[in-house]
Amino acid sequence: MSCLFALQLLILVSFVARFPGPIVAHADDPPRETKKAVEKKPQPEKPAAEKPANKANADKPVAAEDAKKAAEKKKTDNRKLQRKLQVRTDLKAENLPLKDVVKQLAELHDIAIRLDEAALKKAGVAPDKRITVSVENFTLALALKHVLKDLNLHFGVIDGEIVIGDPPPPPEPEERPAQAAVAAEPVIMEAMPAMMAGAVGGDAQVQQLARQSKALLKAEMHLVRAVCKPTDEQLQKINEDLEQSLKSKLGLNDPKKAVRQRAGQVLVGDPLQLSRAWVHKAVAAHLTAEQAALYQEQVDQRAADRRNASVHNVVTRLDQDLALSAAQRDQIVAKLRDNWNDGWCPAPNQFIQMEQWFPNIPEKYIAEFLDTEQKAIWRSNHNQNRGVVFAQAQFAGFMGGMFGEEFLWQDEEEEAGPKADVAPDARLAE
Amino acid sequence: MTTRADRQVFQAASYLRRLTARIGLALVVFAICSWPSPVRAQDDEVVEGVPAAVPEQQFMVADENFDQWVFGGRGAASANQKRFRSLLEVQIEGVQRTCALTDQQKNKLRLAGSADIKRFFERVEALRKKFQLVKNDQNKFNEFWQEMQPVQATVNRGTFGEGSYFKKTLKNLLTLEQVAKFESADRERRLFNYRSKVETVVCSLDEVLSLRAQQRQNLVELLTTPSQVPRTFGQDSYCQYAVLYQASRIPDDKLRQILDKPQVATIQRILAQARGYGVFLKSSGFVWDGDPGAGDGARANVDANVLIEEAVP
Repeated sequence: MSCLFALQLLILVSFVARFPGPIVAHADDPPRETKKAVEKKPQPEKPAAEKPANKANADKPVAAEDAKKAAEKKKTDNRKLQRKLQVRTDLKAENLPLKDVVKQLAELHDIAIRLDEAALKKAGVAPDKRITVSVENFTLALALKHVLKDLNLHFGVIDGEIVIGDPPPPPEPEERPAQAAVAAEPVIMEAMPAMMAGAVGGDAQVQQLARQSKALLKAEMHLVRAVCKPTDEQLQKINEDLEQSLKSKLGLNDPKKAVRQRAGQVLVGDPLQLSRAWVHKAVAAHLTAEQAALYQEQVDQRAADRRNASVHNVVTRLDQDLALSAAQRDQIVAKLRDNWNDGWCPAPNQFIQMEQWFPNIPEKYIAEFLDTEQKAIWRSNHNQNRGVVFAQAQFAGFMGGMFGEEFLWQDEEEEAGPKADVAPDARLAE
Repeated sequence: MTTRADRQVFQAASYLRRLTARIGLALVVFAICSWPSPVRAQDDEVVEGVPAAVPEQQFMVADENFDQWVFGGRGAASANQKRFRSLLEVQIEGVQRTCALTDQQKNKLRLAGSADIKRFFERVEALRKKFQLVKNDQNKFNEFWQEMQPVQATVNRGTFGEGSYFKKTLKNLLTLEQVAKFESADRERRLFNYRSKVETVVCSLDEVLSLRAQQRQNLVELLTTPSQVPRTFGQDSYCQYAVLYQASRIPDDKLRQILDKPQVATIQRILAQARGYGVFLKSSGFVWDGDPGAGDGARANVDANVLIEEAVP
């Protein structure tokens, strides 16, 4: 319960602190990096992308000592960059090439931002694609997100520079840290530090992770058994893999690979995401392509259902103030469903936890269906939440920990066989 | 004699009371932290190594916090007066779309809505005066914070909802034909709202039960029958308890038709806890058809006219 309280406190303080309007305004507030209209600013001579390359040439680490120092330096540069990404900024650009807007941001904040041309090509976005953007008092991270979201591009911090490129790969937090870094950085920055175990001590957190993960793995494996109907041999292999993954996470195999430490605290990870990623990987490794496709279908449908729930919550929240007609509700649902961006709302229960919260959905997806008066109200509501972005909260039990571990899948509920306990209508549906 | 259900109600209610108190406490802590140092953005860096000699903290809450708490970042009271007027017009337009109101009906609704706005802002101003008296008194502040809750709830849920002059007048004004149309649209709206909450709860259940797509779909349908949809809703944050409470009233055999044996065992533990939420939910503003007080619209109409005369100058 105390964890829940801590999480609630963090959410609340984080939310209150993010309001753009001043709660207490002081003359000695830290100055914000204000950007004049981009079109009025002179263009920098040297492209930002060259900076890290030059730096790399200058360093040329040969000896192991130098390599170690270089790695340390990169780490430090990344940390500095993380801080820079939290600096407030204003940005106005009207119909300017993406590369110029990026260059201006890089110059203004004295950082390196590189456009990954291959990724841009893949996304079908030219570096000189013209964009229009207007943000005020956003963190640099959010401003970048805002610029990139409609282009289906993302950014990450790599080796002391910001790289704009591909969307993130599917989550496999343990196995592919280097790839995950691109996607994870912006998310972590906006996240409540829910993944940080508190001062209660690492062991308790690790034990909790183990208990929760086991229960969640059993539940997910029930899904695999019901959908993919694996053979005993396949099941055994999957279970062995899962056991290994859990042991590895807990550091039973190799203490160096144990849960990560940061500033004396333990990063245990999200048991829900971890366990599902492990199952996903094991299914791909040990089941046939057909079986794996059946599981993938369920995973995709799960994601679609979560998006649907979020869309319906958005429209419900709009409806509370705007008295939408049934037709308006249907139109907005359809539009949002077609254009949904998971970054707007990490989980549908966000709406239940935050009474006044509204995701940062661009106006174009909603305003066209509203009348003048509704638009005015929507804009005032929308502005109130600007800049509030949530990352996926860590799993803490059913309904965010309101129901503790005793409400998770229990040992005695493990099935005797794959078909024995499947509900009758589910069998028919399958 | 205290029953298990009573104990569960008490536990749920006391949890929510503690939660509310903690949120209040959190805001107080936040207010203390934000005074007199400058407000920090959510992710501004905190520079460590500040001088050790810190004078004893005095409990102080800045005046600016009041509007922030009441209106949730939507500006000061004056700006919200205008916003509330717009909300009223949108509500009237919403009814107009469904029922084709006459000008006279619209004017009456406008008058009733104005009375609601006036009453609300009078309440806010009374609370503001109280805030001035307690803003430096930590002991009294908690008590004040309790009084703040319903005002915040009104801002969240709307000033023209159940219990408002607007709603009462509306019921009184409409012809039978209009009432039928309005009721139908209102039912549809409530169903849409409730279904979104059911879907959210099912997504949460899916986290611990790993449901199949078909099971989720069936569960959503099972939990969204018309009789389960509240006539009036309380706070959004309590909606998940409302869904679980309604789910707890579903016979086990219906759940067994959808869920597998181990899933039923898990959900039964959850629903056993939720079974005791009824009284709490009702006290928090959730009303279902068939509940006492759910169908007394006509009686409320009579009172509404009297109240409007009292409230509107």
